[in-house]
Amino acid sequence: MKDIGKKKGGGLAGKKERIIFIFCMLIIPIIFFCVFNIGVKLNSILLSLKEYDSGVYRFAGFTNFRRVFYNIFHDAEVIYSFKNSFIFYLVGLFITLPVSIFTTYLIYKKIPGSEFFKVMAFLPQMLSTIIMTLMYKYFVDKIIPLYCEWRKLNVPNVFFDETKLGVMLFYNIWVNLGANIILYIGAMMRIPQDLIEVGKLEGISLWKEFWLVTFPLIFPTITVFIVAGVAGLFTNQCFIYNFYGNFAPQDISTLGYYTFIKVVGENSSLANYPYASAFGVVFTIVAAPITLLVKHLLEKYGPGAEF
Amino acid sequence: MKKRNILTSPFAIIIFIILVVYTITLIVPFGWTFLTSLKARLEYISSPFGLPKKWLFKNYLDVFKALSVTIQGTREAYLPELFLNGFLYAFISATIMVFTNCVVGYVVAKYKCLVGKIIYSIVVINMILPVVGTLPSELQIMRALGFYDNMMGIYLMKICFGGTNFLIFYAMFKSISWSYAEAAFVDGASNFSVFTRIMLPMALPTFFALVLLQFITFWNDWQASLIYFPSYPTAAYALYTFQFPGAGNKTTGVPYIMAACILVALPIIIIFLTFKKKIVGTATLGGLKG
Repeated sequence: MKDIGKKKGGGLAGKKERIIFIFCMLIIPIIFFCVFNIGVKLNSILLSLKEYDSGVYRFAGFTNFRRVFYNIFHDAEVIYSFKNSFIFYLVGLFITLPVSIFTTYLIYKKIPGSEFFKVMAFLPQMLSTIIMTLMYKYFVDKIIPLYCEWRKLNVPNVFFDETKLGVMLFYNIWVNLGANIILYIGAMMRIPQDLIEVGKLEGISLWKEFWLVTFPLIFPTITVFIVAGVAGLFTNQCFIYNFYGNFAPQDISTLGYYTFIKVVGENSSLANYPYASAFGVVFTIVAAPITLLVKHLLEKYGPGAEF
Repeated sequence: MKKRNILTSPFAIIIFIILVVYTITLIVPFGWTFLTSLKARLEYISSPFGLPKKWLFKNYLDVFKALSVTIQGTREAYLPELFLNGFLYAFISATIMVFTNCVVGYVVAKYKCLVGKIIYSIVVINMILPVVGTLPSELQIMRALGFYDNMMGIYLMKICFGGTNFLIFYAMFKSISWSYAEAAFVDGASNFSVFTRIMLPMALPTFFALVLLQFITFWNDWQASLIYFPSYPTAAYALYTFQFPGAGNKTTGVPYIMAACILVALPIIIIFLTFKKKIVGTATLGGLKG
């Protein structure tokens, strides 16, 4: 397969036809990629240096960046957003991730009802998050007061009192667990069976097999999850908009939600675009090296193995 | 060989219990949603967890008539239109996006050239290196090109490559032997006919599976309408507006909201049950090793 695509005709005419073919196939996707991927990213930097004045964007130097840095340390909503985004990220990393890996391993090892569990894990993924949100919202809104009455506790306004962070964290675990199970079951199913058979012949226990064979072999998938999570820290709304729309209490806000409502919805305005872009540029400058560092460290020190 | 039982250690039993509890937490709200959707509003308030005294299937009819979105304060879009908007957006966008990745994946995998190498590198870098907060910039460019709130523009924007779809096609075409193409070239076939008559038919099962998954993703994406095309609301977006009282809804109350959830979920549940094997098989490719 060395010279794939070069064999046709072999002569000048064949080469010319090959070049025309490649050109025709790629030109339109490349144009759109340049505009809506690379162009959007470059424009984001330019937009962060502008301000909206009387219907047009004018160059404003680093005004937006000064505002971003000021707000990071002084605006209560931004401070809450940072804190909450970290909490959501850490919960995802230290609760959702390990639980999903272990539960997936049980499904992969065909415990009783594993097919049923697999189909159930698909359920949250098949339905729109807005459907899942509404079901959860109204169910929890009734079940928690019922529980509080039973335990003779004060009945909270679940989504507005101090219970709100807890119910939002639980929702994120609840919805994301299924997605993770699907991701890891795919990674586990691609492990060559001969490797598993060797373990069986050696007489190792299933948990030893997990630590010695399965975990190292699915580690690249885990790496992708962790690496993508770093960017998610700055972009993930954590479903806050689904629940609260444009008017979430500021102490439940996340960075993704904070920047989103500046651009979309009832509180948005074209004048917010440069400020939101400046936030994006700052986050990118922070997130990009961290992502690369995390990737490098996980690949260097993680238990990854090739197969 | 003796089958090994994993549920022997206390740790495994705890994890198993977590799995069972998780499954129950999925089933119970679904059952509750269905039962609530059949209650009268007052009955729901007095008995949120009991069985409906009278099973009001009429709620579904009421919701079907009432679920709507006001488009720019001028007119109402009702459920048939919302479904149609959602279907066209999901189907056309999914087909364009998957086809683009199929074409680009094929050329990059099968034709050794500098452009192909650059495209592959850019796709990988794009996946690793996060560039965040580009939504304002994207909207600005869309407005400048007249793509904002314009379905033709929205569809054109899907002519982009990258991500898992690209990698799946790239890996799939890499694994197909080039000898089929060589035999066709000997018979005088052009590069284009090799692609359309030999390679594309071989890629069709993957193509359809990815279109199906992408269709579900777009159908469920309720924020797309809010962000990019407010004049063409989808059923999923209508559900979002339906939850807020005073959003112009004629029919309010939790039973109606739950009935609306089931109505909007119905097409996807039917698709999932019809193509369960294909969806389960393809979705697990999401963890494809990069």
